[in-house]
Amino acid sequence: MRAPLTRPVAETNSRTGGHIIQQDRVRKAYHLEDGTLTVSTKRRRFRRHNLDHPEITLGENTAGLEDFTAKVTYFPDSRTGSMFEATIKQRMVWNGTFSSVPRLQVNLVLPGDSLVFQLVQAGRLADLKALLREGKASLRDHDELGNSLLVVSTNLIFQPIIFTFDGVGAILIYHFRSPQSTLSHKFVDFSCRTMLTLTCTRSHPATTGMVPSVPTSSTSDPTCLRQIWNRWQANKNAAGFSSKLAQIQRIIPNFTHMTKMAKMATLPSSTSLPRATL
Amino acid sequence: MPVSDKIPPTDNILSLTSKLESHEKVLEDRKLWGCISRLRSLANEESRTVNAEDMEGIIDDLQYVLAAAKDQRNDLVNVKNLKRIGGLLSSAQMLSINGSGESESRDIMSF
Repeated sequence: MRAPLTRPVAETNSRTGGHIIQQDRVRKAYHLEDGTLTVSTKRRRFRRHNLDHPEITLGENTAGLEDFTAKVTYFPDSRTGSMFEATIKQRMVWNGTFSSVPRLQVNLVLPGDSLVFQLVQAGRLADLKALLREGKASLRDHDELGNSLLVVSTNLIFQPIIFTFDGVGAILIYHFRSPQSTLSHKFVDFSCRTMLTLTCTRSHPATTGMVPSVPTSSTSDPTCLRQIWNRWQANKNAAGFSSKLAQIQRIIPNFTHMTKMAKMATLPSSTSLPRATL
Repeated sequence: MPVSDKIPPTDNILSLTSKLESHEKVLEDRKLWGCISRLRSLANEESRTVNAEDMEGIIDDLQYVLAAAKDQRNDLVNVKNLKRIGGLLSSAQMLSINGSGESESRDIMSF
């Protein structure tokens, strides 16, 4: 029997309906009198595929297939009080443009050592529920770095650090502690208007485990990962590169060793490169 | 009386202009501070969705904050983005205040 051509609505959303072919992220901070206003935008263009036959692309002309997300965040300098975040989303598809209902989230900012964060980090759900019932905490509470309870629960140790290298790209470092108490770092390389994520975990076999993963954008070309890597390596003598690398090394002492090992051992072959989907 | 006597000296004019400009700046800063304070005061609001009439003040405040950001930097790309955000806010018919954290959880999943 022939499979139906239509799929349930839940399956035909953008997550399954296309591949990202380009992604632009812009983040600007504006220092106001008593706080910082951050405007970040994310623009994703994608190519639709036939859902029944994913190998078939529905046209090469991708103009108009685009997601636009913008966040406007205000965070006070005093690190206490309240912050707000406005989120606006717009989606352009082949037959029109749709905007979601804008969201405004106003959250209380509490010191990072507050009881609510301690309970979340320790995974003490019953105590957290009791605290919420008593009105002594809210699910929208944020710590003084702007992390929500959800982010705190993932055990991100501190805010991401961004190192930019002129003409090469940028490297973004996240530190987080996994449930197994292993320290992990995540690197995101934004060079070549693409994004390559390298994740390394110190508990990884041979302690060298920098595993390139999740190439999130225009990487339909399977050699793209290797091209990015080569470009990154070719610019290591550029001005300022070594000092920034030294800063990274201070955070992650075996960074250079790990990158070498990643080059030799863990870059995926062209056939194993996963396809990024929305 | 000669005409030249009626015209205040140039220094006085400059000083007066400077005072007026600084006064305007103080007023602008106060207005910006007022907008931010009003938005921050929504922290204790329950989760709700408001319609176009009720959200007018909130959208105006957000627009003013965005305009202040636009004045700070003359970055063409970003001004374009700020205009787009402003346009989307102006055209919105509803606004969700302190809604669920679905968006954030999705962000973390794609992290």
